[in-house]
Amino acid sequence: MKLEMEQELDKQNITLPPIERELDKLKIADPGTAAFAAERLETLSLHLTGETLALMVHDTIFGLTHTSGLAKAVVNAHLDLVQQNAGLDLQTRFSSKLRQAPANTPGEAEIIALFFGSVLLCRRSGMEERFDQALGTMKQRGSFHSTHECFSLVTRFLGENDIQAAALFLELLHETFSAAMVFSLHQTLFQALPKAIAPLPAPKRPWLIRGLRRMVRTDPTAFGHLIKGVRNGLCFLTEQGFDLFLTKALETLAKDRSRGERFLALESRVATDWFNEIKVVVILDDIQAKLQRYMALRTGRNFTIRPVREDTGTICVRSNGRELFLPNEFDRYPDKQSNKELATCLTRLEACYYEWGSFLFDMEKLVDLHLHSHGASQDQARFPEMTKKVSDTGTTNDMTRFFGCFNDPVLARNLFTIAEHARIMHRIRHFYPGMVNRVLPFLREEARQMASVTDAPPLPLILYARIAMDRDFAATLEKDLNDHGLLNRLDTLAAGLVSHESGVEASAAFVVEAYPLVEQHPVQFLNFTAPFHRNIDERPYFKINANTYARAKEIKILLNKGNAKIYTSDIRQKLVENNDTISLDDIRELLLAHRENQGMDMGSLTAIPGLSESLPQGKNTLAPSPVFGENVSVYKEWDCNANDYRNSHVWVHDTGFPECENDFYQTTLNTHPGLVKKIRHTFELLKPETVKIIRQSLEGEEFDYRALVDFAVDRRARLTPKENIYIKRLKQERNVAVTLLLDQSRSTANQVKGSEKTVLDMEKEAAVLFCEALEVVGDSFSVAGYCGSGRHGVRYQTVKGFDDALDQGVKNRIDLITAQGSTRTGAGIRHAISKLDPVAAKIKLILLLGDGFPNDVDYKHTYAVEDTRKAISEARAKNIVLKAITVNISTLSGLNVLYGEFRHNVISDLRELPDRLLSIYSSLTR
Amino acid sequence: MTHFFDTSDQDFRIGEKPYLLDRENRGAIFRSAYDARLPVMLKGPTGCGKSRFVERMAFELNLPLITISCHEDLFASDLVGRFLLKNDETIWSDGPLTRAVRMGGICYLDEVVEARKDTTVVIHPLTDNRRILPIDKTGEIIKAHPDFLLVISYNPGYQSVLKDLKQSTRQRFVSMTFDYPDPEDEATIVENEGGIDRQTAKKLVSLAVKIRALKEHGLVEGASTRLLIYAAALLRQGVSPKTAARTAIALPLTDDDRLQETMNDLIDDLF
Ligand SMILES: Nc1ncnc2c1ncn2[C@@H]1O[C@H](COP(=O)(O)OP(=O)(O)O)[C@@H](O)[C@H]1O
Ligand SMILES: [Mg+2]
Repeated sequence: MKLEMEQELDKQNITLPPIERELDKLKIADPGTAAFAAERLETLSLHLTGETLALMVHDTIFGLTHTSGLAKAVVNAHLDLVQQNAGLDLQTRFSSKLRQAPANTPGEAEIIALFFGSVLLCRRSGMEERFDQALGTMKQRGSFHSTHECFSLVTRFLGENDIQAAALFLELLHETFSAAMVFSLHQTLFQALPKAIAPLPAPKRPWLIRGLRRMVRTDPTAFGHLIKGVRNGLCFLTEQGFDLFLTKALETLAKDRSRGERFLALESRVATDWFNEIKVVVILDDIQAKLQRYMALRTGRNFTIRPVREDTGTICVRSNGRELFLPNEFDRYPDKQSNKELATCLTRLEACYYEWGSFLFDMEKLVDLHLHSHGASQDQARFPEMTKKVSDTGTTNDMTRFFGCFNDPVLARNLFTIAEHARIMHRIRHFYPGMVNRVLPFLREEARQMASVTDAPPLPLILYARIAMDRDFAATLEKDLNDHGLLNRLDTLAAGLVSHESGVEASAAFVVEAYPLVEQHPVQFLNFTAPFHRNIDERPYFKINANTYARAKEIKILLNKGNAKIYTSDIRQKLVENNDTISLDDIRELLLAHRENQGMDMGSLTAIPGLSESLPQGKNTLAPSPVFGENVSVYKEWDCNANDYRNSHVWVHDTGFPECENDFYQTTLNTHPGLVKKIRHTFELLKPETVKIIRQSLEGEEFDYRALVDFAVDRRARLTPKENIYIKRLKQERNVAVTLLLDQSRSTANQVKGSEKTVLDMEKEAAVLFCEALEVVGDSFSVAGYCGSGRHGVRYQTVKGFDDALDQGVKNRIDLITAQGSTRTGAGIRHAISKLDPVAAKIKLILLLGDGFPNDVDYKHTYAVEDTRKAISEARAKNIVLKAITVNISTLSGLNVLYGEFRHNVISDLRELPDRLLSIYSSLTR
Repeated sequence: MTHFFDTSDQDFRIGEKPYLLDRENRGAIFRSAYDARLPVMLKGPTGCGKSRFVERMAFELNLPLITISCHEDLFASDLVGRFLLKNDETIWSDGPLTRAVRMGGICYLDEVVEARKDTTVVIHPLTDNRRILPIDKTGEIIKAHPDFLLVISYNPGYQSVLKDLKQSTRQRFVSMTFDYPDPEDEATIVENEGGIDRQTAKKLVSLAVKIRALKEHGLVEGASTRLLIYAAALLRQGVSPKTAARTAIALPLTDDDRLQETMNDLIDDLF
């Protein structure tokens, strides 16, 4: 029937050109599809021969007999083939495969239309067979959707030219779905398999897929557990490590089924221990805190450590003054230590930019120090453009402006990178000699590798090796270099300008002078890549630090108007050092550093119009104060995304309790007589930790000889002697102050696992025991609860203040704590700090009792955790220790992150409390 | 009245000129305070040169210096004095403060907030224009020697304790703030006091400067100049720079392993 229709059309449109004629056939069959095809043809601007077009239309009309979706897929497939110059032969093979698809399974035809083209295009023998086999087994077991997902992965691999992975994966699919297992298991695997394989980095695909095949062959029913294991992190192993793991897992599986399964899934303790031992890859997450502290130490600034977004397959490092981007995984070396060392060394190098002011480049300084300093005005004439641009008041930053002075800014930037890295290496050698031999091996290896991919090592890389790494190594690269002229000239130039004493402007001066020399052979320099892709690019830096730059510029311009000499970069440096603040004193100091400003009346600074207004305000400027309630305190909050505090962000309302009689306290004591006794006893033992000698006491175990002498003297003088002549060893005074901080958020109304009581019940009972214990030891203590509802609605309720006696009023209040609101823990801690800080005590402690993680409006996950951690470290900086006791929670590792190892305890039963309290206490007074 | 001790003020004179790098013209300010006989309070973190400053001032002004390190077991009588028994006789013995008041000179109460609260009360009458020290036990009221000057020090770093120093006490002193010296100055001090070369001194200082910035990460107090001098002393004994920096600077500061690790990383870079 179709053929008749086509013949009919042929007769009618004899005069039309072939393309229109073929498409017209399609138009009659389905105008929508025809329009689609015409549009695709147009956008791709492909030239199709009559034959190919006929084949496409032919197949499309076949597709239309199923669905219009299939028809479109066919159009795309054919056009893909044409675009990739597949040739008529492959197109015909595609066509016949398509038409072989059984009419009763339209899905199969669609899979072929969507994915078979890429199989043909890779032109590898055996690929088609693998495709057929996999499709053959899968169509019997899986849904269209899951099959689609698997095959699109195959196409993706082929698109990345990873033919090996595609072939292996097709084989794996075939073997998995022809293995004998229950139907439901196949269904699960259909879902899990592509999800596990898709994220794998290309180099790991082959051996991981091979490992999976080994598993399917040996024990298909446990296969799913291994897939889980891969998703749980097994992909972080090396090939050998994975092999070893699998062998061990299979052994375990043979001995004990369920243990083996948990082993495979990386869910058992033994497995994770083993895994950690053989894992050589270092994950950024595991070291980011360490790297962050190191950056803070070197640069005095907080950097957020983030994974590099794109996966280039090479190691790539970048930073912008706030963030440091590193690869998510370090797996270059076969041992963990070296991988970790590489990560640390790259961090060490990045820190140099900020420690030594690479981005504080100042055009004006460049002119003053380098372009003018040659003394000749002719020098000025050599760079008229540049000198003119110094006075530019535009908003573009100095660095970008500097590079813009050259015909090719990219070339200038690359020259700058080389010189600036040379300057940094000089400084490393001088200031951090211990670093030299740690970073150089990595740089050498990377450079060697970069050199090996080209026929002759590129000149810029050799120059880089010479001046920014080490000369001996550079010599090994130079062997094949014919003409050393340019290299030597650039080398001498850099040596004359750049040293450990020079500022970043020296590197720029190098660019100024080197640029004309390399302009004749720019290609190599244009393509220059520094080891680890560490080419300097100032644009991200200035995007993030635009405000600081603009402020500095504004202040500078105002001062210039007052005829003062000052460098923008010096103002910027002050701003950076002091959290974006600068004072008049700072400015005076900067001005005094310039001879030009001598004799200037510093008192008149304030008279410069606009200056004091334009000085950025400090962080501590008061935010509009809260409007309601007397007892509101305002706190900052740590924003981990901005890597900075949000000042005056949170309001904490310190509210009291109503009066109310109850006997909760006594009842608790009565219901746990044993516990109460125990806690009193243990804390009694704790008392003599710091024995306090009280002299001139009325009673005691020894004479106080000084007082005794006074006594005798008085007696002799016939005065009534004072009888305080003893020394008493007092155990009470331990000089400890503790706050028990209760999380009273709504979630604490949940029941404790395996108990009638809620978390809050337990907290309250704990509070009673706590009061009893501390009363015994005689420590100064307070009890309070906190909860939140948004950043302006945090509530803090004091049950007992430090100065309150443990009277009936306090005891009544414990029962008045109710579960309400959410958990803004950072604010709770900060308020507790503010109350504990003024207390005079040697040891100060906050005990946080709650059910787990912080959570409030706009206060979730990482943000909440990071703010809480920050609040804890603020406490630590004030000599206040924070320990957490968590009721009813199973995930320990998260708490480690939150509170730090050893800083938290988990209890699920009140009976554990005395021991925990005791261990916390004794570790403190150790 | 017989005096138990009869010390000459020579015992309290500073024999050799103590090394001092005077910063911010503090010497001149101190002299002016002395000329006006105004009591002086030195504020600043431990080990930044307060005691050294007082020693040098005493030397320059040719005054005896009586230093009293305060601690929590220090009673008023420990400052003022007490009766003793000697061969059936009662003998009054001056405490160090009384001695200083009588003979003139600088009485330096180091870390005054550590003392018991009642001790601070006895110094009050000495700090206003009466300049007297009443001794309850003997009924004597001593007029301070014309050369007497009271100097106290405290460390505002322990903020909680700061509030212990009552306003009524604080407001009786002219106050001078001490802080860690500028890197250049500090290097000079470490070089001189520690007896090491400038290059190494500079390195120790740059380590300290960086560590001081770690406060936000949980360090309670920064590395003091004193610790740097300790490190220098170890170096002079032939201890390796890394070990010296670790034992004298990093380890005393904190028990936190992670902070130690970070400081060690930097020490490894430096030496
Ligand atoms: N300005 C300075 N000049 C000379 N030495 C200093 C100076 N500052 C600190 N030092 C050195 O540091 C050490 C500790 O100083 P010290 O006066 O004991 O500190 P503080 O009394 O503030 O705790 C001194 O012994 C001295 O060697
Ligand atoms: Mg001292």
